[in-house]
Amino acid sequence: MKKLYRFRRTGLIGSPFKILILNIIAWIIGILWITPFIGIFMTSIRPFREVVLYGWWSLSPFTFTLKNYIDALFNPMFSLGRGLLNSFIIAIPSTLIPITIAALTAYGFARFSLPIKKYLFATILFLMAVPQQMTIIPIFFLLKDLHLLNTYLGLILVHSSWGIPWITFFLRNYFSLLPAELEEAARVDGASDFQVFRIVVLPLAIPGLISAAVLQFAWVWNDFFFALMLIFDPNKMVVTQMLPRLKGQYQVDWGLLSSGSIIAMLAPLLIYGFFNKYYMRGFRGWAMKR
Amino acid sequence: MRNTFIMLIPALLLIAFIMIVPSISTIYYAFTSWNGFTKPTFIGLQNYREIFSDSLFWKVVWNNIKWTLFFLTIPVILALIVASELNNVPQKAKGVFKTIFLIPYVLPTLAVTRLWQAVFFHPLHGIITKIFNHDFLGTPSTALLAIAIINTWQWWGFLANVFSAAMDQIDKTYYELAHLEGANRWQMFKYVTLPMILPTFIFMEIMTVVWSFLVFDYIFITTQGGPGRASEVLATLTYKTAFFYLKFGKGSALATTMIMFASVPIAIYLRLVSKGGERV
Repeated sequence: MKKLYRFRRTGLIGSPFKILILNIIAWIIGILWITPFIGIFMTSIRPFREVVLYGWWSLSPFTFTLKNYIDALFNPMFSLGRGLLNSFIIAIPSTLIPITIAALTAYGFARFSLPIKKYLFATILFLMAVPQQMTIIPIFFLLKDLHLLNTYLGLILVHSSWGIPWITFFLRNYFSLLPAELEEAARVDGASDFQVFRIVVLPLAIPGLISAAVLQFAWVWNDFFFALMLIFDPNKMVVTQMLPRLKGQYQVDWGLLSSGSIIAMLAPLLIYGFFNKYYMRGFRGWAMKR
Repeated sequence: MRNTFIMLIPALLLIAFIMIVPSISTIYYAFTSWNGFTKPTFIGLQNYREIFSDSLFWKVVWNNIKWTLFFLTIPVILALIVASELNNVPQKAKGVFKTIFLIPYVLPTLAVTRLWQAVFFHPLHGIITKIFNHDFLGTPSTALLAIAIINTWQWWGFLANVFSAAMDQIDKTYYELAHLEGANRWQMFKYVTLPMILPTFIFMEIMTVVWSFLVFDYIFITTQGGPGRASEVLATLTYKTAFFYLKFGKGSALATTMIMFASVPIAIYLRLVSKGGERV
């Protein structure tokens, strides 16, 4: 009896009333949380006229159509299909390059000592505070001089270097959580630093690497500022640049915008879903060591 | 030691060219008058004098501060509550919840804002507009708040996941001990959870301040700083000054004020880390 009382007091077992209240609160938050998805989905699969007249939540009348999706994907003026392809062309290397480079750097930070390491680390942290708007003007002229303006490669380079500071920081945390004994054992067996890194550290760090990759991919995919400033050929525009152009002719066509938004969010969503298991395990790279 | 240096070289090269050199040239441009076509002319501190005597600048800084205060509290509290509640649900369900909460974070900002503008804040048939009979995004006094709410919807799940990951590393015996001592849930949170996740908590709060002074996407996409200048922040003002009014010198000067604001928390963090004795 006394034990049960104690459990109640600690709230591990609440009174039925308390549980009911908590349930209600959880449901309200859940519904609020999911409403935008339902709303935009409903808007995207119905003729826009119906949504304007009755609101997306009304189910009578309900006409199902894929016209919004077809219009968004194959519009001759601004094809989202082409935008999707361009986004992939840019996002995939912009993920792999900084992950590879930052993994090396982060391992250096996590395991070795170097006289100037403290200052390098501070620099990396400060770089996380550099606004995109601050550097875009010189970057614009730099790329122009290198004839990389309005090219995939230019944007890939910018995204890659922008990813390095945070990925380095994140992976440094992750690496320092890994046990050092295995590496020492490998070193005793005569493995070089790079061999240790490739054979021992990288396989152990896969959740962290995937975690960083998913986030970097999402950030590059979702970015529109760098793309807006550095790409202006309609054939090279990424999907987030196409999206604002998806408006109706005379009024904002929310049907078209909704279907476009759903198309644009599919790639990061699928990648997130696919790697979810690793991604979640990698999250401890954000948790600072005590 | 030589290998360490080799490991750092690729990163340093790329960063030097795309981040450090441009940052330094921005600092140089901040002391010039430049329209982007002719050569920049050196004008000393003129840009800064103009900026600091402009009441718009201080209004915009105040908007950034309001944004910072909002994000230091509301999403963090929400995330802390949810993350500690997640400790009480079964492991499997916990994973599902965490996955769902993180979904908005991987979505494009553009899509997220469109979603909210269509469903909640539409001036005619948005749900929130109808409930409060008030067009939040279209009214100067509430525009910034509305954008902050949209951003919170996307952001808090990430925070909850980070806090949850930090809480996962707490030794469960602490809770059992606290439980035996008769601690209630608030006491457990205050005396076990919070101290144990403190480094993560501090880091996230520090980065919140940094990101709050850099915020651009959300505001530029939803209101472009409007209505009027109501939701203008430093980043949008910088962008407009440089690319709408073609005052690249003044824009650069504004950008340097941004990095000054955003560097303060980083400096504090480095100080804390070196005092805490963590080996960097």
